[in-house]
Amino acid sequence: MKLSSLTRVHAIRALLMSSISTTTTSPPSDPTAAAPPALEVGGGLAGWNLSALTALYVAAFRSAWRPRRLAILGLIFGGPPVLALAFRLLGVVNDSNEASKAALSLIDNFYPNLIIPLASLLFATGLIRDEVEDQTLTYLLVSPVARPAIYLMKLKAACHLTILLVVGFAALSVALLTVGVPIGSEAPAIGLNGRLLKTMAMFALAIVAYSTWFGLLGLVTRYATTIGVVQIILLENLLVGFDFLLRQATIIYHVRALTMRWLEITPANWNMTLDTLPEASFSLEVLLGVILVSTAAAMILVKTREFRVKTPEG
Amino acid sequence: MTHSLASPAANATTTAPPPLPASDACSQDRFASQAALIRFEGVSKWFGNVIGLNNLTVEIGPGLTGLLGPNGAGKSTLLQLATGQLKPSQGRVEVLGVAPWGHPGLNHHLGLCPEQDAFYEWMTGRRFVTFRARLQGMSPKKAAEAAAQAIDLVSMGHAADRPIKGYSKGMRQRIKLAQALVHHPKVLFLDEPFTGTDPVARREIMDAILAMGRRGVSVVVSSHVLYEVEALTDQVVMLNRGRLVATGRLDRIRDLIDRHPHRIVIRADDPRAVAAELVKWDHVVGLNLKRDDGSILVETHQPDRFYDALPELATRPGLIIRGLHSDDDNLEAVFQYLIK
Repeated sequence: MKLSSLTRVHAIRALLMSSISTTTTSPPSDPTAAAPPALEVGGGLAGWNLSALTALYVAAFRSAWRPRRLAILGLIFGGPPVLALAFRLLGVVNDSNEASKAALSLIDNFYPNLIIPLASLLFATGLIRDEVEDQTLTYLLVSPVARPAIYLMKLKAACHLTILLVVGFAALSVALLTVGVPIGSEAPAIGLNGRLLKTMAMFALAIVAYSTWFGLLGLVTRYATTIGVVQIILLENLLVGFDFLLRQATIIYHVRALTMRWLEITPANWNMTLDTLPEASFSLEVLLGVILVSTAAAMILVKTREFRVKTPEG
Repeated sequence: MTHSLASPAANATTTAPPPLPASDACSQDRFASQAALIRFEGVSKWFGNVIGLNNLTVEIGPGLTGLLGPNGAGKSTLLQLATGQLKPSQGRVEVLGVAPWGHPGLNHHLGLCPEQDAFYEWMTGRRFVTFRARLQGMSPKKAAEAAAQAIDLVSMGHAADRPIKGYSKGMRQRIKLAQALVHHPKVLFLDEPFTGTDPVARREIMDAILAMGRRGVSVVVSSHVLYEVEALTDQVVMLNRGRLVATGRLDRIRDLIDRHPHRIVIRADDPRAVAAELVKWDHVVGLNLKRDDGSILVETHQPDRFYDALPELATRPGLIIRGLHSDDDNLEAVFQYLIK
């Protein structure tokens, strides 16, 4: 009698299963067969080992440097130093007072609304995506490191890297404008060093806020970079210039509000007045809220979501 | 229930992982076999409309086990589920009595050599293996020591301080193996470890795997090449299209396969002359002269006898054999036999 294909499959399987009663256990000579090996997989803080997190942070810091990203970063960060150099070469600044004003103008007009969000976007949207694309995420996922810890270390590295770049290039721009310039005859109108210190502290806050937000965006959609660029151009630069309520939903609005409150300056092109500004504490709470909520949401996503790293089989 | 597994000898190079919380331990009496290290119970995994594994129930015990199947059989999916990278859509996965998904601490005891040829290319081999050791929670000093040991085990000491981006395929495979065993895992998963390696590298990787087995590490090696697995172990799990085809001793499966003629393709300068000789061999049951490329398709029930006899034939005057390959090396052909 001819067996159907399915019957034959079952017959073969049955033959194999029956003839191999110890199908999946070790041979009798294997001493480990009788007693399975021990197991300890850790308790509450499992996956948050400091040595592992440090190694992860260092690797994340280095991995963020990618040739294509470096080229884009060069364009983004190169603007202010090139302008500073041009000012010097063209004789636009003649003494230390003019140099200080020009330096602060460069920093205020380029960094908060353009350089900081773009640099944060470049680093933060790729926190996990880069590892998925490079197929290296596997090495992290098969480590005894909690998934949220992986994200947190990469976010931390991205924030630190962006802060370092912002501070470094801002300092370079200031140095190009001020070093070797004759001291002005009048008393300096601005305490450049103190003002720069406060500005950089606020920039750091803005970088963390942008990075956490874009980091979350990078987990939610594969089009995070495009959406981020649109957000930066439309919301963070155009919308914020119009005086209506919705602009309070932007990060840049609250960064500017803090700048105006803490540094006591009111740039005309911001279209913001002290009368209508929220209190500094409110803006601070909004930025911290963005940081906390975005980070928490991203950590939950990383913990619960599958990241399918493509294998050669697909 | 109390986790009954006993503690092994402490590993000097690894930091002791914290104890297993009771909630993490899975009931041992869910399964019949107490010795099984890896258990899949009715496991299915879907990727959208694509099914990776289909209602798979299998147990894998200690020792060396081959995971066989053609490309797309679900081998990598099985390994990704076993190492907690993926969550089963349905069913239950346990490794060492713990569900891998959501329990990263289990990875103290597991090692994975993934299939993809992916690295942090800017790292040197030593730095990469050390990094993986650090991720296990080792201090920098202990990680460096463990990395040196693992690198020696795969014979990569001479190139360990060179950037990975300059490595040959064989070297990359070996350093990938080193990172998988740097923390002395109890269970080692190797996903197609021989892909793209030359015969020498293949032999070295095989030796390293066998050495791990001798040290008591349970190794699961996935491959789509039957002979690779055969050289390592006779315990196999065979998958095809996400389903379990067979499990058990490879010789039994081979017997089954050998009932069907083995197909070998020979290229010769004078195929008719070679075919005239081959037809005299009693174990050759079929010959087919292919007109398009002048090759001969030989069918035999005893491939070992055929391969033993072929060199003598090739030395005869006028019978120049340019090449041969097994038409059945591809496991897909084997599975076609099994499910016919």
